[in-house]
Amino acid sequence: MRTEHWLYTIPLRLRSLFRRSQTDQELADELRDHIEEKTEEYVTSGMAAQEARRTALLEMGGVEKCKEECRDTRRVTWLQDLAQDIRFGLRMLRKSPGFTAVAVLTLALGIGANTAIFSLINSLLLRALPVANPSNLVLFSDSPVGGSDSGDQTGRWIFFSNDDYNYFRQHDPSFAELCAFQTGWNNAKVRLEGVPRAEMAPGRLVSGNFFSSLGLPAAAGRLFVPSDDKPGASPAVVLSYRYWMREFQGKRSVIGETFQVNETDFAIIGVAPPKFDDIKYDEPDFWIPLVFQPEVMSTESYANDPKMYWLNMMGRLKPGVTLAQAQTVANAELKEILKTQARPESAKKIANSYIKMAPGAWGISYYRATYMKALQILAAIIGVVLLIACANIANLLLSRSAGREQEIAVRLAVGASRGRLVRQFLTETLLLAFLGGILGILVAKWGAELLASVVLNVSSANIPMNMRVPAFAVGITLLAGILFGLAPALRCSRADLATHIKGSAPKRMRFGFANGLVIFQVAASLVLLVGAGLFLRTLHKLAEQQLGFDEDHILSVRIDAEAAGYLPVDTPALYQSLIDRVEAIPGVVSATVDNAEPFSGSTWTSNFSIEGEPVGNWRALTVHKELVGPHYFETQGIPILLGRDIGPQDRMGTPLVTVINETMAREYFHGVNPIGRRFSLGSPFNAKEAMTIVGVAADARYYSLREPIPPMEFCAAFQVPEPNSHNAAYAQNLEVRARGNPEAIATEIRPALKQVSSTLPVASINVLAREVQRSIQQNRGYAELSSAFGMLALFLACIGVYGTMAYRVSRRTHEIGVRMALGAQRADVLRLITGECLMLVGIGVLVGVPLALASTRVIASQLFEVRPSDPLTFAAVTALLVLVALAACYIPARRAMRVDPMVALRYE
Amino acid sequence: MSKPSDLVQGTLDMLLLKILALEPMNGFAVSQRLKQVSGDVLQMSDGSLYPALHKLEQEGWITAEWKTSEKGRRAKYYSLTRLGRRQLEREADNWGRLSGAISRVVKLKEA
Repeated sequence: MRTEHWLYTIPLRLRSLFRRSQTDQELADELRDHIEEKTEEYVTSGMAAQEARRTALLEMGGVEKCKEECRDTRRVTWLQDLAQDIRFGLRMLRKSPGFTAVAVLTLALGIGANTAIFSLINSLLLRALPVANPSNLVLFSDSPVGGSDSGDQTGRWIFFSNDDYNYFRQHDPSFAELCAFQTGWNNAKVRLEGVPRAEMAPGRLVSGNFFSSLGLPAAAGRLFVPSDDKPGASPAVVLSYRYWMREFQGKRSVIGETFQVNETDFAIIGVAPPKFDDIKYDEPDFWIPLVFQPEVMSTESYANDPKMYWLNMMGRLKPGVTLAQAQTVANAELKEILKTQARPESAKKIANSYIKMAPGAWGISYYRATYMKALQILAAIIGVVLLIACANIANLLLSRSAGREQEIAVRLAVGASRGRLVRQFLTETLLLAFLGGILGILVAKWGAELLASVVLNVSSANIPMNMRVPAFAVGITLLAGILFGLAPALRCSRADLATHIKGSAPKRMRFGFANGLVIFQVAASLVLLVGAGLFLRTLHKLAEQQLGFDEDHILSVRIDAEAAGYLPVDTPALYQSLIDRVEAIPGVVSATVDNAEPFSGSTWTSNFSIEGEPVGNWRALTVHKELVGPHYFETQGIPILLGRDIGPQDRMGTPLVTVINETMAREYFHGVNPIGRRFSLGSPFNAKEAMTIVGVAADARYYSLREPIPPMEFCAAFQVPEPNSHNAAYAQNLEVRARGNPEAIATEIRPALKQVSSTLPVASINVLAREVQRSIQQNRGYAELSSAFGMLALFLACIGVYGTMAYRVSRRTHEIGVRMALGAQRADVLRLITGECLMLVGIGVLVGVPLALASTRVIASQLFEVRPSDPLTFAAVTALLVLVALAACYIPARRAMRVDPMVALRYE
Repeated sequence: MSKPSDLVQGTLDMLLLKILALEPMNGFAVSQRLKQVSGDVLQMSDGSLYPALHKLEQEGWITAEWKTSEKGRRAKYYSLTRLGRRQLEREADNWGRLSGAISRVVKLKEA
């Protein structure tokens, strides 16, 4: 019975929903027909035509009311109401295009920016590894610090040696699988089968059960199994998906081909699945089992050194084992290892050592650690801007709705329910929010790319959008809509009928709320602008920093003699030929070698012992070591303060020499002339490996613009000690000083180098000045972004102040008229309006300053030589706000001044 | 007619249904017939007639059609549906029981 009922009625309901106008017309016709028939009847029974019609109409009791009631019976309830609300809302928005445009644009910016930053955070921080069952993966350490450490670890253990890994694998009961992987990666010389040219490509060494621990399937071929990682196994390599696509166009035929890494042949056995950016989110192009570490790194086997800490470990917990339990067990095992190792450690050190585990699902994200703070700061800034935008729109809506009081009162009087009215206003504002949101998604897409490249120096191709992002956008749109729409909606429906219809409602309350909004905007803008100001000053200070060498004229060229197969003993001859060839290029003043270019991020520190000084606390003597070629300081433009530069006379067989920097001379030789003194690296003092100080150079910045210059010593690259010794290293960098613009000679370098050695890989050629700029890129990003957002906030606050003042003036026309009639001059009115405006701004500043002081403390770590409470910045921002506010209230003030008392007094 | 309570409103619906059971007709004719048949005792104000008719249509008990009348004029004619016929029977039964009960109470002899 019910179904039949529904079957009958549904077409009817649908019809009234979709064929509204036709239905309405029919209704009108029906009622009209009735009136006509009734009239005819009365006329037939003797009434006059007009009288008859009037009676008929009266009997109907109000045609419109009747129509409404009929329509009510046909209602498809809320759906129809919603459609009506939306239509009405759109109409209202179309009536005031200026307001709509401003509102939608500000919303789009606010929502878009928030979504952009969320998608960045989401992809970099929240994305889990696309591996099987990530929830029971556990990392041994939650720090992303990379590198390797030979020597001792204290405190928190991050890296482990081969022996440690084997011990844990055999003894730790918490894990179903325990795998290990290299903490960094190697840039290895790679040659593909049939291709004569070698290239540099990054690869990572991993244990045989690495892929199986993660539960990854192969995209092609197969992945490692434990037997690939045993001594004597046949060399196998797994390629990354991206590399496979790029170099081999995804051809399956590469499986089985030879892949030569650093002169050792490996067989390609498979390809990893796509989207697997490896645990550390920096993609290696290939993976090789741990057992081949000596071949890939061209050093001796780390398996022989129990203290060579170069592995990260990750494990899959057995069912039922929690992370906390596993951590306790691992810590106990660590202490066992330390107690029984070849060189037993002090009890204190054992007590101090511990392992902290972290859920492996997030991977050891380099980005996460480095940029977490940056993203959080950005998110806060953008959140505040969105709030300001919402406050603005709330204000605008309030002023608009105030003008609609009469309309609302009439509606309430005619019979609309308050609930319906609130719903309708809410729909209007949600419409606004929706429009803003749609635009906002576009802004988000574009904004995410911008943010990624500006602040994070990351290509946005690495940042995928996923389902959470649009969901977030929708969520924040709704939130924004409700935030700025609810207050006006509720306020509207509470209208007191009688007074509002008359148009003389009390206006006090509304002023308070609108004022509050403006004050909030001013305060928030102040906070943002102060932040922007601090970042700008930091940037300025950083840019001003003197490096100490002549970076504008220097080119750094990365070469890899090691990969080309040169032994350390051969390098001096190679380097000399390279230098000679490059110096022959016109425009080159001089050239030399060093082991790493400044600001490359790599450092080489060591302990040392000075001849003649007591051993004492040898651990406290640390120095940063650089390997440099002849005329190094001359090429770099660093003045020599005492003694001489490294010269061509310092070659193999001559006594070892070194040049130290000012800081080293000051700290370790206490101002006494150190020329002639000797020291050796490591402890105790080793006369065979000791170097004589032949010069002191001026301090120069090599590592960071912010941190103090450390003690540095520069040994001669051409004085290569025994191969495989502690000090052996390659000078992997060529520094070329150009007479003019270094870019001009950049193109000549590669061919020149090829002439000397055709197998020498040339990895990159950089203008040093640009590298330095890149190191402060993040600061520049902060400064630019915070300034942009600060300006946006200021602009919005300006509009807010203008809107509020304009509204107030328009409402007080009557009052102003009275004042003028009583004798106030135009100047007095001006003072009145301006005074109110300044008071608003003043309160905003008073509220904003403590807020700003509190928030800037958060960014203190990002600042440089600028205090978070820098008074200059605060003063400048306050002045700016006051100026802007005055400008904003100029037009309303002028309008107030122009009020004609006669007109104002007569009309409301 | 005095303002209908729920009880009386339901009865009104039954009356409309009954009239339409006789033959299809438009709203004006329904109100005329009702007046005529009840001897002017039962009348419906026009303002409540049409909403009632529309509600009956919405419930599926009557259906409407635009037809040209004998006078050559287009009008909306309502007619009873099968569902409506069943509803009418049910309501008539209810009414019978109700009115019978009321009569019995009213006819009680005073002591």
